[in-house]
Amino acid sequence: MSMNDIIYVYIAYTIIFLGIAAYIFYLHTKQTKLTQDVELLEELVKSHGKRKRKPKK
Amino acid sequence: MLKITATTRIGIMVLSIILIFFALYMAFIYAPSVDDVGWSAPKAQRIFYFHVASAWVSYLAFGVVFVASILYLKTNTRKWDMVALSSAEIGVLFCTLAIVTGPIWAKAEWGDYWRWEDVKLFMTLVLWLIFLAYLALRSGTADSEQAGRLAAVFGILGFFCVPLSFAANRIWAQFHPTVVASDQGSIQPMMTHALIVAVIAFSVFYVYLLIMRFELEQLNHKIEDLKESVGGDEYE
Repeated sequence: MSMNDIIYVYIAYTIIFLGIAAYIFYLHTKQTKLTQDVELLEELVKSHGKRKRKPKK
Repeated sequence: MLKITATTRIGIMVLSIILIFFALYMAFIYAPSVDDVGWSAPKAQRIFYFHVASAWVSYLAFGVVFVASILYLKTNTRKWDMVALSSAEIGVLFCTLAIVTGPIWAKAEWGDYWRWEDVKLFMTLVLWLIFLAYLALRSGTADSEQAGRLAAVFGILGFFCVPLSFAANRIWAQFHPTVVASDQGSIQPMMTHALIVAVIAFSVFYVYLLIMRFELEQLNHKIEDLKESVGGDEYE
């Protein structure tokens, strides 16, 4: 019985650390995507600004 | 808006990692084992340290949601809405960890994963569901300002489950044990030290996660502002 107890401890701590790792992975993935979106939008804003400055024919 | 330097962020991350490893040492090596007499699964008792630390941090996170929500409604400053949302998400994470690890220990020690008649267990589950609904509310509403205000009210009301969840086993002694000194007997001092270290470690880690999550919200809002500059229909 006492050897089986330790399995519960391993399961509980594994769940804790897997849960935390999964959340950190989610944050990192989302940050990468959002940073790419920001860069893309900043490029669009720059090109939008350049188009506005072009003289009309 | 809040600006945390990379050095500060890395410093908090490193500190929290060190503290978590120290907490593991305290939980598994420093803290003594409980006596075999009176415990069905004495080794499983070591789940207690990180289980309680998870629960405490969820209370802390929901407390931050409560304060930030009040400040948002009072000042209408977007920063507080972002803090509330970030903290709510982390609070749900730690509440989930507490709700999952508690029954694992309960099964080992008492043979039951859950007892619905226990007020503390029930109130903690209600607390978790309330803040899950808070997150669902934030993701579902298109108008972010309206969502923020509705969620702020939700966050303020939902917080009242925290003291109920915390105090329930002190008022109605049932299935879930009382952690600190009680008529049933207090925990040994070395176990208290290990518990305190675990709580501090997770609290510092919560601060790190809050910074990370808040920075994501800042990026989200930057994207909204940039979309307005470009004109939303030009960006798909």
